[in-house]
Amino acid sequence: MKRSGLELSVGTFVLAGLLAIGWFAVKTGAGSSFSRSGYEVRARFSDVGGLRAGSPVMIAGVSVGRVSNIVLDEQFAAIVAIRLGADLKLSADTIASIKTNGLMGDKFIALSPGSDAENVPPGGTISDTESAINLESLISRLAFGNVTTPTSTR
Amino acid sequence: MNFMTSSLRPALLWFAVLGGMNAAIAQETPLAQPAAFVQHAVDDVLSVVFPEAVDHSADLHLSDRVLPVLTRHLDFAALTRRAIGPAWSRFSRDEQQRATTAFSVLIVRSYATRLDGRQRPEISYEPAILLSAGRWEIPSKVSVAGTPYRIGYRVERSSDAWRIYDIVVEGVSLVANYRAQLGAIFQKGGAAAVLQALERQVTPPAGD
Repeated sequence: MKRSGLELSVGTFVLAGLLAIGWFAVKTGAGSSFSRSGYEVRARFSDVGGLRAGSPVMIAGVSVGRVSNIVLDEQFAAIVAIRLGADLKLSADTIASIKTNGLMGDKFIALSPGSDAENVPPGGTISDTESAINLESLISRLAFGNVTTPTSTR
Repeated sequence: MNFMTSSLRPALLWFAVLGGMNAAIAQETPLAQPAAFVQHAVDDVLSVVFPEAVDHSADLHLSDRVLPVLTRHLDFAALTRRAIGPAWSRFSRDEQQRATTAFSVLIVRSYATRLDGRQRPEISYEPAILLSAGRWEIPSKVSVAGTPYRIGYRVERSSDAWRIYDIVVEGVSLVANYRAQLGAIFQKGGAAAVLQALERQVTPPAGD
C-alpha cells in the first residue's frame, strides 16, 4: 500500500516534468505565437551570416517577432521574411540590423525604429538594413593584409 | 569619448569616398537616375576637396568649404531626424533646428581635416539596388591608399531631386550608428542632453 503510493507520486512527478518540457519547447521554438498571428514584412541583406528561420527579432532586447523565411533573390542577396506581432507599428525609416548574442552566439535581427510618420505596411519592405559583420573577414584582413595593398619598399 | 571613437571609422571612410571620384565619370549625366546623381554628388565634393589648381578659397577651413557642397546633395534635416530616431517628435521645433545645425557641422567638421594631404581614392560603382519604392542604394568599392572598402549610398527622391539619406561603410550604417548613440543619450537626459552632446562636439574648446 505504502509502495503503490510512492510509485503514484513518482509517476505524477515524471508526467508533470514531461508536460513542462513540452510546453517549454512549444513556447521557445519557431512555432511560437508569432507564427500564426501578426503580419509579415521583408528586409534585404547582402549577408545574413547564419541567421535562420525561427531566429528572434527584437527591439531594445524585447522579442517582437521571428524570422519566418529566408530566400535568395536574383542578385544573390538574402530576402528575409519577418513575422511581427499585430500590434507593432514600424516607422518607414526603421533600420533592421543582424546582431549576434555575445561574441559567438546565435544571430538575431535588431530593429531600430525611426521617426517617420509613415509605417511599413503588412507585406512591405524595411528598406534600411545592416548586414551581419563578417568578423572572420575583418580579422583575416588585419592579420594577412590585402592583395591590393602595395608592398612598401621603404 | 566613446561617442566619437565608435563613429570614427565609417565617417572617415565616407569622406575618403567623397574625395576620390574619378573626373571622367562627371560627364553630362541625366540626374534623374539615382546612380548618376550619386556619381555627380561625389564628383562635386571632389572638386572642393581635391581642387585641380592650388586654391584654398581664401584659406577657409576644408570643412567650411565642403559644407555648402554637401548641403546640395545630402538631406541634413532628414539625416538628423533619422539619426535621432523616435525621440525626434519630442524635440521642439527650435530644438530640432539646433540639432540639425549641430549634426550637420559634426558630420562635416569632425572628419574633414582628416582628408588634408590624403591620397585620392579610386572608386568603382556597382549597379543600383532598389530598396523600396523611391529608395535606392548605390554600392561602390573604394580603394584608399591600396586598402579596399565597400561603401553604399542610400538615396531617396525628395520633392525636387535625389538626396543622400544614409551612407553604409563596410556594412555599418551612419544613421544606425548615431541613432544608437543619440537614443541612449536621450533616454538618460532627454532632448537637452542630446543637444548638449552634439553642440559640445562642434564647439571649439575655450582658448582655441
